[in-house]
Amino acid sequence: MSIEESELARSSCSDESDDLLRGDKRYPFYTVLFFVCLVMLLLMPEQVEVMSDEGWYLQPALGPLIGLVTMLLFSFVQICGALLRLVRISPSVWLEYIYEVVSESRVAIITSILFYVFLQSIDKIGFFLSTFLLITTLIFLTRLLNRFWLLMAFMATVLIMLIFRVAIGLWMDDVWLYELLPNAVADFCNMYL
Amino acid sequence: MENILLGLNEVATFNVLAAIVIGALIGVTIGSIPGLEPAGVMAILLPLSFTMAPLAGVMLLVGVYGGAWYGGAIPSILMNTPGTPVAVLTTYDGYPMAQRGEGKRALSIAYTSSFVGGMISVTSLVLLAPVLAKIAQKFGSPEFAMLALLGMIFVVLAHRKHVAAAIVMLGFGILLGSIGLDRSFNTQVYTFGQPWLLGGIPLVPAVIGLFAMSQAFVLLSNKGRDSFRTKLDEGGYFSGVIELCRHKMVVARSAFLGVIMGLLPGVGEFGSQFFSYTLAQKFSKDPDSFGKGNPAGVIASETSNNAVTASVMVPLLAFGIPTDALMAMLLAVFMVHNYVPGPTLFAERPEFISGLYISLFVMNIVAFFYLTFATRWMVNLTRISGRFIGAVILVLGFVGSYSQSYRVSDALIALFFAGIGYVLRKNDIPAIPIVLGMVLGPVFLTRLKQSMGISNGDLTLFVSRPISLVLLSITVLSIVVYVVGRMRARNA
Repeated sequence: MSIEESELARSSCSDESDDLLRGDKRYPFYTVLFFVCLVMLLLMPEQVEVMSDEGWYLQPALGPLIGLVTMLLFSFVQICGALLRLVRISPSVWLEYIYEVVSESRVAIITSILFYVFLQSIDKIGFFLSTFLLITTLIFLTRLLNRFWLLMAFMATVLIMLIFRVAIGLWMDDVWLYELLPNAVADFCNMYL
Repeated sequence: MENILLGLNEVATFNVLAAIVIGALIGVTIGSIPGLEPAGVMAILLPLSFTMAPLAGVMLLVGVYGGAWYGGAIPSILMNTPGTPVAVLTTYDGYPMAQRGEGKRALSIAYTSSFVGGMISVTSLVLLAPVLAKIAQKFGSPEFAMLALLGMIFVVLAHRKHVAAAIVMLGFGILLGSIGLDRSFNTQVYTFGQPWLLGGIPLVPAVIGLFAMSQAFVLLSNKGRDSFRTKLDEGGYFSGVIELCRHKMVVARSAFLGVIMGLLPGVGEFGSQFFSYTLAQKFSKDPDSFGKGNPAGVIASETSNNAVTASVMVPLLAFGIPTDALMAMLLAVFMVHNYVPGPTLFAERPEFISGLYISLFVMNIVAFFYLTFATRWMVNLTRISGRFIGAVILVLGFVGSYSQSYRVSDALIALFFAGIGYVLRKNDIPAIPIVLGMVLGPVFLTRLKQSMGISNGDLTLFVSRPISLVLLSITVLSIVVYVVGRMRARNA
């Protein structure tokens, strides 16, 4: 095979990978789901005890088995025509694709990370400050931050505090930051902020 | 008469009235903001409703649910952007009317149609639910197992273009519903040794993640214009009443279809809306004017949307079977208060049932009058940026998921489901079957185990009992009709 022919074959192969991965975006989703279900099914003996004295209908595995087999079969139905070709796609193409998907979903990923940080910061700096910082950071990252939206973020935070902490009395752990304040102020802050 | 008085007694409390009014106002308001869906807001309010009296909790959520369909007409008509997904067809004729300078008239027609549809729907609930509940008294475990199966199959088949995807998601829901401690044998099922999974996957954080927080991700990812300025022309707000009198048949037909479609699991607002619109066009003397600003188009779409809102509760109240994700949330409120929907609820809590009927009538009146008089201010809500709303939804998502058990881990579960919901939204895969799998899956499995226990594993039990046989036959027939229809469509 000449160099041109081999390059042509490679490019047609990469075109096919492109069609599979980027044509119908659900293919990769169902492929991942298919293998996750397969692994979960293989783990079943470890994860669910078999009650040998009981009938099939009373087994604790009945529910997960119905769920997993349904998912496995129908995700296979979605990808059956393309499964072999999908499996044959080289890891580098898959990596490239994953990089693309991640960069497409970067806002959701960054937001998730910020939300996680927000959850961890609540018992450190308090719900009020965490909420205000989360909303402000998000509107900054989405290029919305200006004086008007900053004021709106502050007002929304105050409103959330008034509804959930003051009116409904949503309970939260004592906050590390408030411990640095005088007792009376700390009690007030722990109760309402 | 006695029941009505008992119901009035239930409703005439500050908490219930406040819940009706606040629920309806929140619903109408969120409906008027494009991109904000009632399911997400209901999910956020769900834990709050657990702390309220049963009727107040239910009405808060139902108010949001019903109110949103009213409010969805505002952006549909003024901005050509449906406020709620079910208001799509209102844009077809509502927006051309607004462009002609008849925005207020179109809004009036939409509100009046919604009101009439809503009232007919509540009447159907009042008439049908007790009758079906009486039938449900004859149900045993095999019948309830078959009914749960039928509900799941209907919901799957309702996703006409994504049936295989819906089945996969239903399977996922059934799996999620099975995780935790199996109480019959005190054994762990897919907990991976994690103590926080022993209690199973909590429904509320899952729903909040799937519907509210994933929506926040989408709103925050928006790159284009996500706020709108709208202007309202001059005109009367009550012209809709006259218009409805001119199109009595369209109103009657659309309301009837809405009620019937509401009874069928998974079909709901979308099915009724498309059928009603198509029939209104077919029987019109001027079918070509549809899509160009024909008031009958707005009437068909809005009447049928709102005719679903109460009739969709019939299967839940009569059989305890939720037919969509929003009804699954309502079921959670019922269960928290130990109100088990089904025939016993009608016998044991007649005051609650009557109170619910009266509250639904009141909710429709509140939503109608609020919209009629507040539209001129409400149109300004469309100026709020979607990205800002997304940021606020995230915080509310935390509050909603955390407040049920005061556990930050629940918020992390919500975050996990938000990721799943986001991927599903991006790939156009339905998330509703997951919730129904989580709710109906355990119902089906429990009843199946009970039935099989009675018959010692003999599956013929399901065909030897008449009601169970009928339900099983409907299930099989629905699948056969769908498969044959697909094959015909493929061959054509």
